[in-house]
Amino acid sequence: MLLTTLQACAAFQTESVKPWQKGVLTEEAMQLDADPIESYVDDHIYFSKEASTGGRGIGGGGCGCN
Amino acid sequence: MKSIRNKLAIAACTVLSQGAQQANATEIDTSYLFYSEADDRVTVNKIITKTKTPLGDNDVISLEAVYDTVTGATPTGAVKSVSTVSVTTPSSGGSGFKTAAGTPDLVEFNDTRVGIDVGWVHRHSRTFKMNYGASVSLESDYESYGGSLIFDKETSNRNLTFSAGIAGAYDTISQRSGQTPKPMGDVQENSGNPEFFGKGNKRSYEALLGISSITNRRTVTQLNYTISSTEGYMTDPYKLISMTDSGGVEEKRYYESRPENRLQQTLYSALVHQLKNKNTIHLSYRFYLDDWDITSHTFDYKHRIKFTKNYYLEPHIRLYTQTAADIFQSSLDNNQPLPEYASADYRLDEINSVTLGTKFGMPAWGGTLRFRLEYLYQSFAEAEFNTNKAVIFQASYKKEFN
Amino acid sequence: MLKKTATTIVISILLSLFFYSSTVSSANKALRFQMPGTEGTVDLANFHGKVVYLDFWASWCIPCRKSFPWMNTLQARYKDKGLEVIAIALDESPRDAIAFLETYSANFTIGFDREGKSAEAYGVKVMPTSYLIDKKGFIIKTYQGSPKKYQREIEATIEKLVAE
Repeated sequence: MLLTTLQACAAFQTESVKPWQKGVLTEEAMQLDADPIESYVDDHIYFSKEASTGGRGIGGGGCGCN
Repeated sequence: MKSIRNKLAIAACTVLSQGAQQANATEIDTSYLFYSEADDRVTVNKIITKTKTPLGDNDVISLEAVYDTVTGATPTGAVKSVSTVSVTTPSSGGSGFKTAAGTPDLVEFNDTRVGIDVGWVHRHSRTFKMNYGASVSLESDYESYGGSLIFDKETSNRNLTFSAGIAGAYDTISQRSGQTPKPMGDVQENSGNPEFFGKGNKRSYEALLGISSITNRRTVTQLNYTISSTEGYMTDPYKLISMTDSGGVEEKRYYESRPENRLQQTLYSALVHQLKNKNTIHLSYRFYLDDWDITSHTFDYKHRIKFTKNYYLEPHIRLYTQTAADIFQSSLDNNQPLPEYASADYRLDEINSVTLGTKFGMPAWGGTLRFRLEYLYQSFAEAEFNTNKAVIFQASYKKEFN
Repeated sequence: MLKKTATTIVISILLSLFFYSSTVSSANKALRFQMPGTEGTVDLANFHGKVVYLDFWASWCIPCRKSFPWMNTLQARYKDKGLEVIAIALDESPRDAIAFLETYSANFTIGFDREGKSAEAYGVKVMPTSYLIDKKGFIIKTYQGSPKKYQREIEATIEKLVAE
């Protein structure tokens, strides 16, 4: 866990990424929404169990889910 | 079934274009969800399928269809009846309220929902695209129609994407009978025949401003601000609130009542980073604020541990905390006049919640198979039901067709 | 006096145009590179006197991948007329590029530039980007993005260049 935290600090080192350096970024795991169908389900569950909603995007359908 | 409002964040989230990548094949993702709460409360079975097809080099269309069934019982908001208060609403569609002495109040229900979302992404130039979306969701007691428009503009090196969008929705709400009870109406008014009105409706308008950035070769970050304004009927036509004496004994029951306006704002930030060992972390934090006095913080962390090619395990933790809405009251005081707005809905109470789970992904039949098992625990400060425990199971299969 | 000044101005304009155009020309001269390849060192200097179709690609780049069969055709059709296709893999790990080549066989010259120095020097802004270089070593044309939509134009230009 500590190792992860330390390594994650690398995430804040900014560099200008060249077009040919985007190989890792094309991986599915590196997408901001890596599993849209899972996010869709989660948004639904938490929308119907909590008072707050939204954040990741806008639009989509409403429902009377309980 | 019943309740407030929804904003499904379809994958409207800004998608960074990486390299000159274009979706180049039809992709179908199908998923089954099982959600089940402890103590025979809500059970949801859901099937979703999402298809994404490129049309030429500059267009991608997507179609998402959802079918779900919701069964079980959910708290009405009324307190546990010490003596049996026999109430059968003519409208709930279920079998009325369970009101045996000492049993917390639940309303049984059984409903199915069909939802369809369509999306179209059109790339106008190398660095500019538009996302159009439309959605419909139908239930016996709830209908929703929505549309959205989002612009994505990238810098010429494509390391930054700016997004701006608007969305609107029109929802119709009622009990299954097609009626809505008079807000703050006495359940037993007119010898158990309280006043009912026609369907309620609400309109919501949303706006989004976002920026996503490639920080370095292994990191992507995102910051979104959304604001949403809703006006109209936001009361839950099934929810009740008890009036109690000083000893907490129920004297009367009322239908709940919520304001006709709500302004919600969120600030959402996310970070995706690949570690040196090729594992990926997904971190996000959301700050939410609305004018019903609710503030919430959501923290989400996923850690994808990559085994051999395409096999992975992804532990997940989600922490959530919210303050109670100003209209939330676990019950009404019999010494006070009836307020204009009051709700005992546990979802408007102060909540602390934890979700723990894990996902397993593997290649299968030329696609990707994922299984997810999670446990959700919610605790409520004052609501009649002070906890909610649920199990979430999801199985999904995605495949590309060239 | 006025005439003299005018003449000076005209001459200096012409001179500056000459120098300007000559700098443009020298900027258009394809920069030499040397790098490891599937069959020994790839050195642009070795292709002098040939028309070169120079492609920058990476194994993860889908449109790059799609141009491979076409580049094979190109090489087969114009090799005897003096065309060389050189495709430089910019993968950070050349192993990924090699694995890719096992699936998509390439019958042309492949170079590996894991640090992307050549791409940097050529000013690659989009993946893939390709350059058409004439027999004298000048860059005639740059193509950004998937070559699918330029294929005919590229072939026509090659026909012209090999005939020069």
